[in-house]
Amino acid sequence: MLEAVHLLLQGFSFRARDLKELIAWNADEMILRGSFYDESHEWNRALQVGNAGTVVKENGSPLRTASSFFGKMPAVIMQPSDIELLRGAPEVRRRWLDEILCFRSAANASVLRNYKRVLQQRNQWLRQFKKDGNAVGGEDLFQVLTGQLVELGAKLWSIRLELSKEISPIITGYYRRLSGGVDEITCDYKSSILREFDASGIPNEDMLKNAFAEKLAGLELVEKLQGITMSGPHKDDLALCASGYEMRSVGSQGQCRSAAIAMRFAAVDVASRYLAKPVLLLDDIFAELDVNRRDAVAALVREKDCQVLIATPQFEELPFKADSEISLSD
Amino acid sequence: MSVEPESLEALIAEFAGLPGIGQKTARRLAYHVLTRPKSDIERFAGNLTNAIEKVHPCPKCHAFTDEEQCPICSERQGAKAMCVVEKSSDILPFERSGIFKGLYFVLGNVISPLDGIGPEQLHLSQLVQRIKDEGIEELVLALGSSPEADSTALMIDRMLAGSSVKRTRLARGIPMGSDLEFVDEITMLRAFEGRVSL
Ligand SMILES: [Zn+2]
Repeated sequence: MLEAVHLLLQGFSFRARDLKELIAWNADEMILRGSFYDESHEWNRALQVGNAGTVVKENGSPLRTASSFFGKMPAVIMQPSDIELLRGAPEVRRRWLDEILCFRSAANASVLRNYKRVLQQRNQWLRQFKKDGNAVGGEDLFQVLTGQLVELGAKLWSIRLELSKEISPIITGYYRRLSGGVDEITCDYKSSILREFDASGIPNEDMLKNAFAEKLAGLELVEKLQGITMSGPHKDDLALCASGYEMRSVGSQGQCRSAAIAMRFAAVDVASRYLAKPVLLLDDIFAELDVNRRDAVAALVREKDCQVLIATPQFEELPFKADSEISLSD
Repeated sequence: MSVEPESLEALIAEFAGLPGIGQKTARRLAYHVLTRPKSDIERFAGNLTNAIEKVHPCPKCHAFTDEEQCPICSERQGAKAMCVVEKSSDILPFERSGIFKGLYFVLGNVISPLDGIGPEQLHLSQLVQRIKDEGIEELVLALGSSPEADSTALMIDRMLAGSSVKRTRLARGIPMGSDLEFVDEITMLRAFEGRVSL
């Protein structure tokens, strides 16, 4: 249910990498339909995923992919597995950061998409070079692809750094409220490229471009031996620290849950500021929280004044009164 | 068990293989074709075979033609401007708007290592040779806005290093990811007039 709403609003699943995984095991296809509206727009969306392919429609007209849904009415999901935002691999945090980066602007989304695409092309070139000792387009094409990667990588770094500067105090603030001020966390962008600069201020795009170009030039031989791109924004991480230690390794269960919720509320803020007030999807998050945190989350949810959809097995324990209830049984 | 005859299924599969046509539309088209008078279908099939037999890429610019050399290459010999496009059909909006009176060069694709497509498949050395031999003075790169289109433009630029030919790209104005073929004339005029040096 929450997953269906998320998919129709965000254009991707928060659970499955391939939409085909969402088809029930005994079915051939999956069809989702939903209507969404705000003050000035209405979107009637349909998504059909089958073995023959995917059909995506909005207000009756076909769209190329489900990802075209993204960027109109955002959704933010909070779920127990969000603890992975703290405990999981850097990729989980990068994906979170990139999602809100796309909330900020369509131009950001296109930089991210193009960076990933050029990275794939360059990796393919390197893979082929490693295997055959040469690759399509030769050295000239390799230099072209490296130039494009440097250009787009510097842009992506620049917008990610700016974004993390904006959200870092927001996350600290929410965490403080959720923990009742007992402890503090910080959130910093972590990249090997930043070691090239002194700690004062954010390097600008040109500086990043030069540093990245230099770095790739130094790695060229190794990359050609390994057959893969070895440096770039796709290697980075966010460091979430409690009293100076990374929570990934030292954070308690409660600290990590609070930090994850703080990160999700930061996403709500970015979406509200730059795109539109998001729909908030809460998937059974209250059971995991102690009373104080539950009340703090409930207060924040009320403050945000979003449309909220909550899935819960124990209706009585919700710190809210719902406007309407839908009971699902197997 | 299928309720449709095998030959009808095969026809539907052919239609479904065309770009932008889903299973449903393919079935509708196949049924529609079969309800037409027999002479109509025969003419359709005849035109299809005819096109395959007669139409081939022009040896100079790779645009589709049914003559030995396409009319543009023949009639505009000596022109000093050349426009590089991805697909043969991308020539249409330029010709419709009448803004460009030069020669064309159709690449047939854009550079993509993932698909095994490099400068060779796009006949880039032939392009560079033509620019030299025919004394081309301006090269307009009209290649869309994907990263692969950018790689292609940059690759051409690199292969022309040291050459004095002026390189320009269409101004942005062309909607992101859209097909040149479907760009209207006004947009094309604006994009062409606002073209920028590489
Ligand atoms: Zn020709």
